[in-house]
Amino acid sequence: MALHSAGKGKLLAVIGDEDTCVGFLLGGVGEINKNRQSNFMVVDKNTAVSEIEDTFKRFIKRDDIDIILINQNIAEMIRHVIDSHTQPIPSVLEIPSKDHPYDASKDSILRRARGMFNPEDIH
Amino acid sequence: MYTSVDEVCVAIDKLMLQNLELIEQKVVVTVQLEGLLRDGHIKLAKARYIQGKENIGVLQIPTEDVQMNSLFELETFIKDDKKEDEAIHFDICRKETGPNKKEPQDPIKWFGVLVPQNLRDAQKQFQSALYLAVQSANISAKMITIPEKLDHLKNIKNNFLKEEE
Repeated sequence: MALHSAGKGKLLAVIGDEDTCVGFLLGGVGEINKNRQSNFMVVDKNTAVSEIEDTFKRFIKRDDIDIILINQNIAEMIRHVIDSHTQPIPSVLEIPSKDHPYDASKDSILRRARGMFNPEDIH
Repeated sequence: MYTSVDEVCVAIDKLMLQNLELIEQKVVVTVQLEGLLRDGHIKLAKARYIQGKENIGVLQIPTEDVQMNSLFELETFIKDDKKEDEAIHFDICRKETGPNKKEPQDPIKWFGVLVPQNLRDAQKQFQSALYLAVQSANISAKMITIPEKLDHLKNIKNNFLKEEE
């Protein structure tokens, strides 16, 4: 069975509240490339939902980003966009934030997996 | 491949069980991630208490005028054979620094030279959280392939049932 690398030097992107972004950037995931494109977005209470949507879509289109980390409460705001993203790359991970604990019932991937156990589907 | 409807049913059952196991793994990893992030946030808050509220925040992060390089690099593997358990696998490691390569700046320097130990601890927590996030992404990658396989098996099962009729 062949395993081939699709590319090295890919990035993780972060969409989150101030503390989540500061934390992960302190960890060393931040990158601003030659075109002045960053791989993170700090969301505060004044950020418009359309702005988050645009950033998320831009991250999906970039081929150097393979994992997108997004706070679950922010993912809730743009749930329809996240649900419509079904490609395996980039992988979208919903992470808990400081103020909002993780709720497995909201996670897009878990909801999709649980959907398989629909009584109507099983026959 | 499959010779009877029973074999297909066994395969479907196996896939369902695998799905349940993956759901469990995903939840366990995410809960671990939550713990690490919580510790990281507490350490960050302590560092902020010591150094001052304005000194640790988004204002210290370089703006888009300055080029910034990630300390980590992600490698993605794609398996050619999609019948296997997983099609995609992510791997994360620290960027190699050689004599010819310029070492990226440690982000802790954005916050000053003599930073509190808590900030260093927070950095470690968030870095461990990254490895866990990649683990979680690998589980998700496995989960994504299951519905497709299940549909395929259901089609085979329906064909068998039609033949029997």
